[in-house]
Amino acid sequence: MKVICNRARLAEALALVSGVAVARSPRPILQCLRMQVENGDNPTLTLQATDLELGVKCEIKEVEVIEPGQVVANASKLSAIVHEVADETITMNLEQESLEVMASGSKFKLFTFDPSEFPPVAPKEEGKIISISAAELTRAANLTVYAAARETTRYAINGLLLEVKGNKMVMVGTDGRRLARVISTLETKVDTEISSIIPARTIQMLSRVATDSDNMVNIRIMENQVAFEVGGVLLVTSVIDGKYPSYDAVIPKESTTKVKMDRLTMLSALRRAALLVSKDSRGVKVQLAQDRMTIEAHSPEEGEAAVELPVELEGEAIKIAFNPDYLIDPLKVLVAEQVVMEFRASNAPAVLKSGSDFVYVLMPVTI
Amino acid sequence: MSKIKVLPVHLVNKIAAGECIERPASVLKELVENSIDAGATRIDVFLEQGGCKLIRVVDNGGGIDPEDISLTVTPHATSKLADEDALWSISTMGFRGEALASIGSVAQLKISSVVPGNDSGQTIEVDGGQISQKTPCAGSPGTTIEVHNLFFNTPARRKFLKTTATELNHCQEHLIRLALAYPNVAFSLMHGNRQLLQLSATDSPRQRISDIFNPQLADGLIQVFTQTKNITFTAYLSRPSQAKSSANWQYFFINKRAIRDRFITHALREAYRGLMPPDRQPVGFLFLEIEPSIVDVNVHPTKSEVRFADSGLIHSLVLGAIRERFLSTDLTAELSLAQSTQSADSPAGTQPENTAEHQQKIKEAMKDFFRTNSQSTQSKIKFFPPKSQNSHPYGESTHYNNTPPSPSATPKPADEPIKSAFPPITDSPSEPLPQKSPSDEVLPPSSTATPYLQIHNSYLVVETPDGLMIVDQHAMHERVLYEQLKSRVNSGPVLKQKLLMPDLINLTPAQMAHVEQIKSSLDQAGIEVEPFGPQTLPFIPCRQSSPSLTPPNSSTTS
Repeated sequence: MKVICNRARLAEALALVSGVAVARSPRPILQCLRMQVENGDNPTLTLQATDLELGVKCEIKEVEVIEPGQVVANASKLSAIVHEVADETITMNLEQESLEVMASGSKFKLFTFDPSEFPPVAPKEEGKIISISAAELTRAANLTVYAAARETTRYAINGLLLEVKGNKMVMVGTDGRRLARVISTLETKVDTEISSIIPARTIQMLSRVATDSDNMVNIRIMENQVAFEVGGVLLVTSVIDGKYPSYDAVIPKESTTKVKMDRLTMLSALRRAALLVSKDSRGVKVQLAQDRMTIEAHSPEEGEAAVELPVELEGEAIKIAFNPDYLIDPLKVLVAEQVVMEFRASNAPAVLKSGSDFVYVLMPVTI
Repeated sequence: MSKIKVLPVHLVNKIAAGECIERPASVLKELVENSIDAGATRIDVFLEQGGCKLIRVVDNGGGIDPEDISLTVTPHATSKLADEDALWSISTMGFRGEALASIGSVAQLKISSVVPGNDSGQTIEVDGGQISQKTPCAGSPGTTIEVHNLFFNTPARRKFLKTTATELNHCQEHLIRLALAYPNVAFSLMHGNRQLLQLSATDSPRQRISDIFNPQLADGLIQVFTQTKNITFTAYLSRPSQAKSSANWQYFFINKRAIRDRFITHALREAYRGLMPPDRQPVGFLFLEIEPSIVDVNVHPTKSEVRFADSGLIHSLVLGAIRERFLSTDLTAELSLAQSTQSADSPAGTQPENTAEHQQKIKEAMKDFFRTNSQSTQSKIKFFPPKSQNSHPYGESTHYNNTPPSPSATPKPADEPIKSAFPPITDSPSEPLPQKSPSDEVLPPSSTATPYLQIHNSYLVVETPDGLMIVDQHAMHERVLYEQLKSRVNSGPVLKQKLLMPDLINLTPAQMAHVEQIKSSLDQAGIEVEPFGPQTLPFIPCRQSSPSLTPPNSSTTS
């Protein structure tokens, strides 16, 4: 195998792929990536890495193939080398059992592994394919992924729910205290219903991959796997086996108080108030009356804060308390100028809405 | 023709004897209890062949009136119970009036008694149920009872007697229990020509424990005392470090009666929970004085079990008192190396050690230890001189939180850090201390604080002014978190984050009842529970304590 490659493009791909390779593993081959060079009409260099849960495959077209072949070598070392050298191109050559990496003035030799031992990164079956624009998928991912739980024993909520029904795709994230749900419209209808729980890590990865908003993403949903294919990158992930909570039951249908406010004003007000919540009890009191919202924070050790902002209030005045971080999270990633919040009681869930497709349910705290 | 007959008296007695006279030890127990009930202040016991051949109990008690002496061996004749009401407030050891009659039916019994103030007394003999005429005798005040050839007329039972050593052991154990309950009575025990116990009267139960067992054990015991309206509880308990591998070292007394009781056993275990490994048993002498009306001692023929009017009350009283005492006591295990070799009752010749020579030996042994073990322990032992601003070993929290320690944390040549951690052990000052690279954060060159050593990622060994301290860091971490939560709860209401989707827990009815009891404590800690469904058992903890006390996304309730 011998190939000359655009360094910047390779560095970019390596950064993505080596993020999946396992840092420490009893199986050293999982710390590696696999490079495959193909000639013909379409010369490509394909990089692959997997931790057995998530696999990634990335194609680079900016190559000049001298001799096709494949090699398996340490991902982080290769990535670091390509990152450090400054040339425009880089030459890689498999010489006996070593991978030679050559740039001007430097030459590296990396030991390699047997490519046949590398776990394959490929969908296991046909599955059902849905198509969605990269822009819409990233939007849905960004609006829900922060709400997913991290490392709880309720494994299902460590992932995000992906549901497809008709021409609607629903994505849901929850950690048991708040829940984010976003509905996207697909261009094509799907005749069967689909419901999978996808690891949060895959969804995070997805927003890094689907950067070019003009692209379409093909989602292949299988029995135990889901694959995302966009712009020369393939992500194959195992799905989380479990029962996702019935999110619909959690979303309140009624409210007695409804307020409309400017998203950025609200975000900034919360951030200011949150400066003085105590470390032990992260809670701010929110008071709504006469078109004003007052956010108060109190820290026994440091002091207190009170922030006021104008809102459009409909319905009854209310007092309620929240963990400010849980409100800041969605406000940060939303794009709409205005958001709506709905309340029923100070011990009942509150709802943050933007448009008709995004709903965020948040449980209050009692201080 | 009728087939049902009333049994003859001697047969009734033999059957009754089967219940309470099991072996020589039970005879001894009955006799000594009688002596105690008679107000004796000195009781001497002589045994032969573990009590199978002879049990003789000599006391200096109130004696038996000459006209009563033949009644002693009549069944259900007693001086200890006057009327029916008295049965519900028993304050004597015996009360059924069965013992002597039962013993008399299965052995050769001889009772001699002199009432104080009289010059002479009476003797009566019973031989397998046959009562002889009483004859006058001389002697000092008190009663002497001899039991010869126990079970001589019941061969089946005789066959079940164990070896002399076993029977003697049982006798001794029974006498020890009585002696513990009555420290103000002097006891002695002779077996053949051998003196086994010699206990002088004392006011202090601790002194009695010391006389029976050993002074080291007695001195280390923690005394617990508490009193309510009708219960007084005193206990002498070992430190967790003195725990034994069996529960034989636990003695429970209710109104000076040695008993077994699972509620008290459980309370004792519970009080030591977390303080010692689960397979160890504490040493404990627990004395309960309970108003006789709220405890029924008449449930078991040998009176080794009792029934409480309110066993839960006894359990919580015992547990509460011990816990409270432990909380105010430093239970840190201490190992004194130098003193123990001198104070232990080892053969006298070994005591005067040449200290310098001894130190040298230790030094060599330590050196050898590190040399021979350096290969195998190199990857498991880490040395962490603490950061200067934080002298507490726990300050190095990063090493606890399962973050893999940086490669530099593991010393490559094991000899070097060991020398730096324990400078006194190196006897060659010419050897330079290891070079510490600036990036090596766990060995800061400026460190002057106490170094410590981490073993298997689980234990910390820390230098203290007079020795070393070993800390189980996992237990310590739990304790630190517990203390944080406790101080947080005590300083005011805890912030509760409501859960969108409650965690459901399935509980048995007993667990459910317990949760109902601790509901308010859970609420204080920020966890609210509610029964879910009318008939079903699940509970919903629908709130969670403040995020800083629990990892933000963990579900603590599942």
